[in-house]
Order: sequence, then structure tokens, then C-alpha cells
Amino acid sequence: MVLNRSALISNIITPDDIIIRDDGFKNLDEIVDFFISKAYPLISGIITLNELKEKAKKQLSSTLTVFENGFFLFHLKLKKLDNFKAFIILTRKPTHYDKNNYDIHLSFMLLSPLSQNMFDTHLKILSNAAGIFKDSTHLLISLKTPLEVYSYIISKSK
Amino acid sequence: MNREVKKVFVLTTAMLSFISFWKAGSVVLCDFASSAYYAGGIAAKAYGSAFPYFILGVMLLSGFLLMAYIESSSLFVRGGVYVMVKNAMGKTMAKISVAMLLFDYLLTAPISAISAGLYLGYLLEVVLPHFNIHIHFPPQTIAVIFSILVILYFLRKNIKGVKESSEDNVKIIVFVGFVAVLLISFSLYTIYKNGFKLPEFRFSFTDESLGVLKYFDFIKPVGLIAILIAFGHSILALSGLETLAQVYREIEDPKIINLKKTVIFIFVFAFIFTGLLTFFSSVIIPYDKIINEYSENLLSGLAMSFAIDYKLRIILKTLVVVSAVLILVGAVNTAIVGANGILNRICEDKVLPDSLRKLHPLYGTTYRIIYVVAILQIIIVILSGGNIFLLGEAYAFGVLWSLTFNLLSLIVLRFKKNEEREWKFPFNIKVYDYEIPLGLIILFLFVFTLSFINLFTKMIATVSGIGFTIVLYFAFSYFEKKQNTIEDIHKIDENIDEEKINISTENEVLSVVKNFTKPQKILVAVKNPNNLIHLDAVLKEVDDNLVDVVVLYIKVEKGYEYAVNFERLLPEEKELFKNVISISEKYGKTVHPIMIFSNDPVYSILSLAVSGSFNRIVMGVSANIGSEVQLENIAIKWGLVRPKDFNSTIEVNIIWERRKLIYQLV
Repeated sequence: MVLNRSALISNIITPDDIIIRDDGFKNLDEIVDFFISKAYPLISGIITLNELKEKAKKQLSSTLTVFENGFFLFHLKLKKLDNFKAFIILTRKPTHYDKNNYDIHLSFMLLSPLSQNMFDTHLKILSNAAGIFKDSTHLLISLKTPLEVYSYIISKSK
Repeated sequence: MNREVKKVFVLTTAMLSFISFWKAGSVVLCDFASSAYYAGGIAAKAYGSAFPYFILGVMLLSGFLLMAYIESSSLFVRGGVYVMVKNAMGKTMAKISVAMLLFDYLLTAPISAISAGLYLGYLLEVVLPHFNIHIHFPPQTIAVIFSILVILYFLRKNIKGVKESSEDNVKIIVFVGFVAVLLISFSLYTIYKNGFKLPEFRFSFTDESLGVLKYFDFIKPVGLIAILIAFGHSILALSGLETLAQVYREIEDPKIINLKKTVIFIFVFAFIFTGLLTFFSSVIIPYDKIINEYSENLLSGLAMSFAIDYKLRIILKTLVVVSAVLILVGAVNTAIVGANGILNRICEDKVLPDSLRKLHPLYGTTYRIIYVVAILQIIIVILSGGNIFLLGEAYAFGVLWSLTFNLLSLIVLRFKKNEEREWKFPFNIKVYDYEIPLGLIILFLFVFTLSFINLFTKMIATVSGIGFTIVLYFAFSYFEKKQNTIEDIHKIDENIDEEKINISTENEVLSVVKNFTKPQKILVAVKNPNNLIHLDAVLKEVDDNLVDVVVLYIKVEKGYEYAVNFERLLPEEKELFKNVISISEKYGKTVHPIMIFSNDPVYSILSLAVSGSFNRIVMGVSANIGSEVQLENIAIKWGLVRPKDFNSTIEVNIIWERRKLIYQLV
């Protein structure tokens, strides 16, 4: 079955939005801060940095999706955002998540419009992300370039 | 991430099977219609040749009482006198009313069994000489022996937990109906051949039937007084109506509509079978013969009085006796089951010691209660010596007073619980802002008057009934105090039994799911016993014929420690399943409750939905995280669960008060 095109990860991400690092982060807060530093230039017109950090902090404390295969999924809904945007961070060295004792290698951050009309697509993107990345952490961290990662995502989205 | 659902617990209970109105009506009629075999004869002996008119009158009255039961059933799915009176007038009155009802149940078995025994005895008197057996067995002796054997048989059956089958009840009613058709046909033929004269509307009260009124010269048994006294002596034909309240919970969807059909079926059958056949008996059999020969087996007398060949009359009489034995013996079992049910309920309410409800080590039945009931019934049989008139004298007390309390409670609840009802007893008058239930009030006053008059005209009933009620009431009060009664933990308008719920295990989900064969399947996830709005919404609308509704409870356990029986579940989990059953009964729609242990409930729900090819998943809203976050979790977990080759859609509904969120999993 062909996935809803608007919910395809490949449509909301470009190779420039995929970051590959050797070193991990200290904790989840650092991963999120890194995401924010990448995302803020694109959305500075609709939200202040402090507001974005506040929202992220609130989201981190309320719902957290970390999988035992090393995948961390983080999402925020923003007013005035008119389209979806995503970022991926791959770290060859893991970020240790103390609570569940998981090692995170792959983080996916989604920014979604805070709109009832877009909520369905938001859910489908989350679902697609979980589906694509559920078994692929080890494969992905072996890839060399963001383009290779992007090609993998495209192949999984078909 | 491969977390397959391994072990599934399937909860099964007889309460989740629902029956058609035919079956429900047959269950009631096996008790209610059985009085046709003895009510006429007892009434004839009590007050004279006017008896058939009053039996017909009582059958007409039963129609109104059945209508009252429709309203009370619409209030409480698991109703009955105890629930009604408790909610209307409190526990004290409920204890008194249930003591009276117990009196009714304790007498139903003896009077039914003795009557069946008498029919058998009189048949043997006629048939045995044909086989050159000239030993005379007094029918009353046969009746006593037969009754004891029947009660012992059902004692054993109930201890073993063999449930009364509604299919058996249908077969009995079909056969009894067949015999009724024969009797009516031959009655009409006999009337056509011999002509007829309407029975005289004349009263001839005996001293026994006047009771203490005979000492009051100023109270003459004429006119209205005579009518009321005669009515009071005919009221034993009403026994069995309470069974309708017990059987309502088993009626299938649409419940109230099917209940109405049940009531019409019961009324028409009983009116023709009890009312009409008694009337034909009075037309065809001379009154003196009824009194002297056939007062204990009236319908056999009818068969023997037809204008047909003697051999054919014997065959008909045999059929009558077979039908009598079948239906009356069935009434014995209903009485034991009914008494057991009532006593269980009041034990649950801490009115009697819970030790009385100790389960049989092998069969899991409340054997102590069953023994007590059966022994008391056997004692009554022995004390009666097979004298059905003695039993008839005592019988009406429990019937009338429990009906009186029931009607009064219905009136009180009109004001106390004035919410919309699915059905109301008719003839209600609006006075300013109040609706006066005039129809119910008139009915209550009539039944109360009969009950009151019977206190004076049926001395055996009055003395034994009041004595029994007082003894039982004080026993209830004593044990209740002794146990330091705690507040009833159940909801005030529902009184749910801790009935037997079986748990079986299946090692694979697929072996459970293969049992669900209807075109559509809905998976309803439940957790909070006080939040089942979503289950209610599903059952309200679903077509039971087309949809399997599976109710899933996920026990979140980190260590996968399996509870292997219902007793080890937590109180709130038991409460959850009881509430699920209650909602299922409310709509008369079957649900399949299953339980899974998991540390990831959402994942397990989705996994089961895929394995079982469910069309829809329904959940209540999470109070902790809200519906949107709930859906986000579902969406993410769906990404993990979704098979690569999934080529379908599962609709997810999150339902709460007046709101519903829908999401399609593709």
C-alpha cells in the first residue's frame, strides 16, 4: 500500500537535515538543544528561542519516546508553522539514557503545525518514522554520508 | 523490537450468553404456567363455582403486573424485589420483602412437586388395573415420595452446578402447548357435542376459606367483599412472575423490545393455558365432580370428561400427566435456583454470613445454601402430607406481599429516581410539575387490598408467613450486626453478584481469535472500571449478529507473573469485569473478555488487532495524557507493529463523554 505522500519522511527532510557525528551527547537534553540549534534559524520568524526551548523542555518532561534499539523520537507542534519539518541525528557513539538504560544512536525530531487539519498527517509521519527506523539503527550508523541515509529513507518510504 | 503476545486469558461466563424472547418467556412460563395444574382446583374448593371467572381475572391481573415488571426491569438490569425495595425504601424493608419472597420460593417447590405427584398418583390409579396391578397407592403418599425424590434430584443437580437450560424450557413449553391445543380442541368438540352452561357465579365459602372473618358477623362475604376474598384465594395462580426479573438480564438486544415480546408471549400463553383451560374445566366437568374427584388434578379431570372414546381419554390424561410432571418439576428447580440466587445476593450484602456462601470444593457452587433450601422444602413436603390444599392455603402470602412491595417500590422510585425510563407503566397524570403514576397506584391499591384481606382469610398463610418473615428478619439483623456490616461497595442502582467467571488460557492469540467468526470485529480496550463510556457506546450501536466485540484488559506486569484464577485478581480488576458484564447485560449483546499480561499495553492492543484482523479499536480517553498524546502514542506504536504486507485499515476510536476521535491505521 502506498503511504500517504504528505506523510512521507522523504518529503519533509533533505540530506542537509541529516547530521552524522562520531561523538554522542551527554543526555537527551543535549540532543534536544542540538535539534533546537538546527531548527531555530528556519522558524525564528514565528517563535523566540526561549519560547522554543520552553516548549521542548515541557515536551521532554511529559512524553518521551525512546526505543530499546537506540532510536529517540521527539516532536513538537508549533502555532504559525505552516508545514512539517524534520531533522535526523546519527551518532556512532551512543547517548546513554539512564531511565531505561538504553543507548541512543538515532534521533528524529519532527516539527509539526499546531492545527487540527494537520493532526492526521502529524500522526502518520510519527507512524512512518517509527516504522522506518524501528529496526535500522545499526544499519544507519554504518552509513557514511547524509545522502546515503536519505537514500535509505526514500527506499523505505516506497 | 519483536514483542509478540504470547499468553491470552479468556474469561467466560454464562452471563454473557443472551437468549431470545421465546426462550426467556419459556423460562418464566415453566414456573408461571405450572399453576394451571392446581390453582383451579384449590380455588374451587375454597369458594365455589365462581372460581373460573376469578382464575381468568387473575390472569388478566397478571398482564398488568407483567407491565409493572417491564418498568422495573428498565430501571435495574439485575432487578427483582430485593433490588427494587432496597433502592426505594431501604435495606430494612428490603430484608422484609425478601423474607416473604423466600417464603414463596420455599413453598413453590413443594406445591409444584406435590401437584405433579398427585397427577401421577391419580393416573396410576386408573392405569395400573389395566396391567392387573391392584395395589392401591394413595395419591397423596405417592405425591410425598415423588416430591422428596424430585427435590433430592435437583439438590444434586444444583450442587453439581448443572445450569437450567433455556432450551429445555422451550421444549417443555412446546410440549405443554401441544397438550393445551389438544385439550382446547377436545373441549370445544365436547361443548359442541354436549352443549354448555356457563358456570354459576356463586360463592360458597368454607369456614377455612373465610379464616377469621367468620367471627365477624358484620362482614358478610357478599358483593365486593366476596369478590376480593375469592380473588385472594385465586392469587396463587400468579406465582412465578418474579422469574421475569431474574431472566431479564439474559434477554438479547434490543432488550426492552424483546422484554415486551416476552411479556406478551407469557400473558397470551398463560391466559389461554391457565385461564381458558380452567374455564373449560368448569364448563365441562360438573362442579360436584370437580370438588369430589378432580380438585387435585383438574386438567386430568378435563381430559377424562371429554365426549370421546375412553381409550382416547386415557391417552389424553397420560399426556396431561406427562406435561404436568415436566412443567411442575421444572418449577421445583426454578424455586431452588431462585432461592439460591436471593440468598446469595443477601449474603453478598452482608445480611447473612458469608460462610453460608462457601463454595463446594469440587463444583464451585454455593452448596450450603442449596442444602438449606432443599431441606426446608423437604420438611414442608413431609409436614403437608401431600395435602395440596394446605399448601395452597399457605402459598399466597409470599406471592402477594412480594408483589405489593414491588409495586410500592416502583411508585416510590417514580419520585426518587425520576430519570427517563425506557418504558413506563401507563396512565400517568401530570399535576403541575409532578407526574402522578395513577395506573401504578390503582394497581398497588388493588394488590394491597388483596394482600390485606388474605391476612384474615388465609390463616395458615398469615401465621406461617408472618412467623417465617419475623424469624428470618431477626436472623438477618443478627448476622448483619455480627458481621459489622460495611457500606455496600456496589453502585446504588446495581447489585452485581460475584458469579462464577472462568479463566482459561490460550498459548497463542490466534487460537483465541479463531473463535470470532462474525464479519466484523471490534477490539475494546478497558482499564478503569469507572470509565467504560466507550464500551457502552459500542454496545449501544453494534449489531450483535454481525460484529464480534472483544473486550481487552491488559494487566501491566513487569515480571509476567500470571494470575491463574479470578480470585487472585485485584478488587478493581474484578470490579472492571463485573462492570463489563453489567454493560453487556444492559444491551443484551455478547462480549468476549480477554486478558493479556504486557508491559506495553498500546503495543499489545495493536498487535492483537493485527493478528486478529480487527476492523476497529475502541478506547476510552486517558485521564493522564489526554486524547491527542494518546493518539500520538498509538501512531508511533503502529509504526512498530504494522506488518510490511499490511493491506487493510483499522479504525481507532477514542471515545469519552460526548466526544469521539477517529484515526485510521493504514
